[in-house]
Amino acid sequence: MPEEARGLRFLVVEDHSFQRRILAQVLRQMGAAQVLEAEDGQQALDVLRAAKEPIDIVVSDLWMPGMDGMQLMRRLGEAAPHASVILASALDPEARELVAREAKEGGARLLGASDKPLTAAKLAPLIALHRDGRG
Amino acid sequence: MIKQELLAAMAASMRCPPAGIVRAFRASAREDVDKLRTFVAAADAERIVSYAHRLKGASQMLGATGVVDGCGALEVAVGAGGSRDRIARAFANLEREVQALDAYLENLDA
Repeated sequence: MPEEARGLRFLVVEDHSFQRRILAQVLRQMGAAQVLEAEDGQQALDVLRAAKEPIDIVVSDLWMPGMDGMQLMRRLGEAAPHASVILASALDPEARELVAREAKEGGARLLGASDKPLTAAKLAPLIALHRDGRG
Repeated sequence: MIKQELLAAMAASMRCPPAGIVRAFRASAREDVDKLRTFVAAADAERIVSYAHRLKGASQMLGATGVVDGCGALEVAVGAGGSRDRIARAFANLEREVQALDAYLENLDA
C-alpha cells in the first residue's frame, strides 16, 4: 500500500470512539509519523497547543458535543496556523458543501470534505493537496 | 444489511481483519442504543439527536443503511418537535434495525 501520509502529523477530532480509532488506524497505516486524538474541538485546541511538533493536518467531524467542527475551524489559526483541515461529516452533501465554503471564507485551510467512512482511497488525494500546498 | 465492499476497504486501509472492525462496531452500537433508550425515556431531545447522529456516522462506515435510515428518522422525529409517542416509535424501529444488524453481523463470516 502506498504511504501517502508518510512523515506527516495528524490530529483526529471525533467524539465517537469507534470512528476515531478506525480513522487513526487508517492514517497510521498510510504512514503517518504521528496521529493524535481528541474528542471535541476544545480538546483539539488543547492538544494542538501542547503538541511538541506542529500538526500538519486536522481531520475533524463537524457535529460534536461541546465545541463542534465549525467552531474549531474558526479558532484553528490561534493554535495551529499552518495546519490543514479535512472534514469528515455525516451531513448530506449539500449541507457539507455549504459548511466547507463557510470554513474557507473563515480562513481555515480546508483540503476538502468527504463522506464517512474516510478510507485511505478518500484521504490520499486530500493529503496530496496538503503536500502540494494547494489546500 | 451492510456494504461488504466498505468493510473490505476499511479492513484493507487498516490492515486488520474485518472481524475486528465488526466486533468493535457491534459493541459501540449496543452502547449507543442503550444510551438512546435512556434518553428517549427521559425525553432528552438534545441527547437523542446527538446519539442518533453518532450511531448514524458509525453505521455509515459499514454501509448499514437500515440503521442509518432509522437514525435519520429518529433525528427528524425529534427535530420536528414530534410527540413522545412518535419519538418512541422511531426509536423502537431503530432498535429493531440495530438488533437485526447485530444478528447478521454475529453470523457474518468476516
